[in-house]
Amino acid sequence: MILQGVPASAGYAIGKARIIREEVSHQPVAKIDPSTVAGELERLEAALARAADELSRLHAKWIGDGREQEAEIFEGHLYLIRDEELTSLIRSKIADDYFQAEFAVREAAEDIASRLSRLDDPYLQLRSADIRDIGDRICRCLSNKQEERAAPGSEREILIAEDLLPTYIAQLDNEVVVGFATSLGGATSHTAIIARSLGLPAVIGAVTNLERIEEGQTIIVDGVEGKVIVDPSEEDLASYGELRERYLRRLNELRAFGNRPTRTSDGHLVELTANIGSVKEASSAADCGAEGIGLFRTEFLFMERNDLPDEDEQFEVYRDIVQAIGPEAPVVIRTMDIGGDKELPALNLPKEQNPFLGFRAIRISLEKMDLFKTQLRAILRASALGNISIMFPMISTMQELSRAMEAVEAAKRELAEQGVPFDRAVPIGIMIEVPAAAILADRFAKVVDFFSIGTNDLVQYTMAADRMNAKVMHMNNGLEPAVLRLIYNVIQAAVAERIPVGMCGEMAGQPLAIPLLLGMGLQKFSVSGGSILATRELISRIDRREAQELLKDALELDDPDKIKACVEKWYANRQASIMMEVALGKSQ
Amino acid sequence: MEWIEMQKQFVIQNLLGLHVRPAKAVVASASQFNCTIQIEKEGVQFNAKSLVGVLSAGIKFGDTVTLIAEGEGEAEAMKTIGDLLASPIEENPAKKVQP
Repeated sequence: MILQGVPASAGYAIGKARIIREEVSHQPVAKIDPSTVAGELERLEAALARAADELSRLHAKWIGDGREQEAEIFEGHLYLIRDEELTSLIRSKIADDYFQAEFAVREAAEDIASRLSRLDDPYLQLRSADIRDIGDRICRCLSNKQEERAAPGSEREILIAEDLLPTYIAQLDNEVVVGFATSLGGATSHTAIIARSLGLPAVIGAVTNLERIEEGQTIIVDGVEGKVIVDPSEEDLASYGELRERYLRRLNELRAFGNRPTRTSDGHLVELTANIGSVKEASSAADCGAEGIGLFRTEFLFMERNDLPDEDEQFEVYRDIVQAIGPEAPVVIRTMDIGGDKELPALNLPKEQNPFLGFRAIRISLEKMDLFKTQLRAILRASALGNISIMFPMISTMQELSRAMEAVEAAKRELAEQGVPFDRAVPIGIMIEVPAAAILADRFAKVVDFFSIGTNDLVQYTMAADRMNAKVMHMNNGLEPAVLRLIYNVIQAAVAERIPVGMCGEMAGQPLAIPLLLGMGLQKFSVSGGSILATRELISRIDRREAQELLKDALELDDPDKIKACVEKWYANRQASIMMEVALGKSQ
Repeated sequence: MEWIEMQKQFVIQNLLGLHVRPAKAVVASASQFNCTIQIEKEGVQFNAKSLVGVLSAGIKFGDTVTLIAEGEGEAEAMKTIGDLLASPIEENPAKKVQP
């Protein structure tokens, strides 16, 4: 039996099912005799003290392990357990309503949880699950039970439960419990965050039929694909066993590349950032070791809705991204790149014959100035909070660029008049994805603060080959000599004007392209979050002078297949091991 | 001794509003005083010594709130917590810019 859920913490685990059942979920109202109120209150105070003590120890342990982000979750719990409002609510439910202490705790926790959940604030990290967690902890302390730990055994266990609380996961014995699956929760819950930081494979939420699993059954948790395999076949066990080994080996190799700058083997620093399309991806990019956000696609704000996002809504999203990745980290926000094939229902744009050559991106923004100005104001407001840059997509002419820059100036003037803070020196850059802009790169470089080469479109426009059309797809190749020469031209133009130049297309993460790009002098690579570590590892093994030699040879060739062979040979002459799969996810 | 309630208005300067981290700072500071301390927003009062209370207020950057203190040490409490509310509580990015 294979159950599908949401992958919440990557990795593979094989073990025996241990079913965790909710102990006291729906207790009936438990009343006490008014004469026992004093005793019940004393019992509560003792339980609160014990619970606070447990949390202090957990907090200290995680701080000691250098896991401050996780420790902060427990610090928050500690605050709540000593919270005047929560504790006085519990006390009044005992003293005034004559509730039994356990029942009073649950009722009070429920009240507070629902009050907090009504506030629509993304920063409210204390969610209803945390409040419930605290309620459970106090109840456990009330009944004088020790913190439950997995029974010491030789068998590896997979926990199966409707829901598991973050603090429960945090104190599991990692030797025994190797993974878990739950039917409630989500990938962004604190439970998932803790599981990821413990490296505990987990499938959380949306797993139906979990109740059909029986105690002791063999279970495979596939935290990469979000699968739970019950009673696997011998073949499954063998293949997952191998997958697990390979995963752990690769993880170990890559882990060394998590928290360090990206440097070529001869010491040149390059910037390695992530491409993202949502706030959620910003947090996972940070977990993946990204140095910032090289491309935030703002399209999701505009798609699949019938109205337009207002300034505050957009500001909150940009602010959340800065918060997720950190105020120092660079964040490049690309203004809306929509139209043509990506629908924008609110504007009711007509279908086009040739959407990729049509009314899209900056072309729409410059026509719909209100929409553009709203987005620019929101980005500028967020620029006061972090290291934000603005980037325009699909720029083809200098006239488009100057109109777009005028719009930025106008938005800045408005904000200044209204006394709203923003970064006056916010860098303005363009995507180089239209051949017209690539050809005039020397001119554009005199006006903008940075370039980012978008290879997906640049390749298809340069080669006039639709990447969705199977007949011509083979021509859609970044190693085509024309494409390489054009990219080199852009990089040289940027270097000549001393402006930074990066790449945010797929090519930036491709092992065959990376040495060529380094040889050309590319300074910034923006790739998908999952490719960060492998790309950093690869770059760290490349000597830039050797890459320059390789580039010289490659530029002499007229055939993309020969260029590919040339790069492969270059790799083979160095270390065979650096020809690795780019991402862990691709190792399957 | 009779205490007369003190109150004063503040405009929140923490750019991300009073989310969990700055709220903790307010609660930690308020808890050191014996007087009652309330934060009033849009006519509703919240207990400044309670994280649940401060968070429930949902205070954002630029919001105007009234700080109300009554009891022992109220003047000092007004000053300490008022200074906190009127400051960018968290370390804001180095390049914070004035318009």
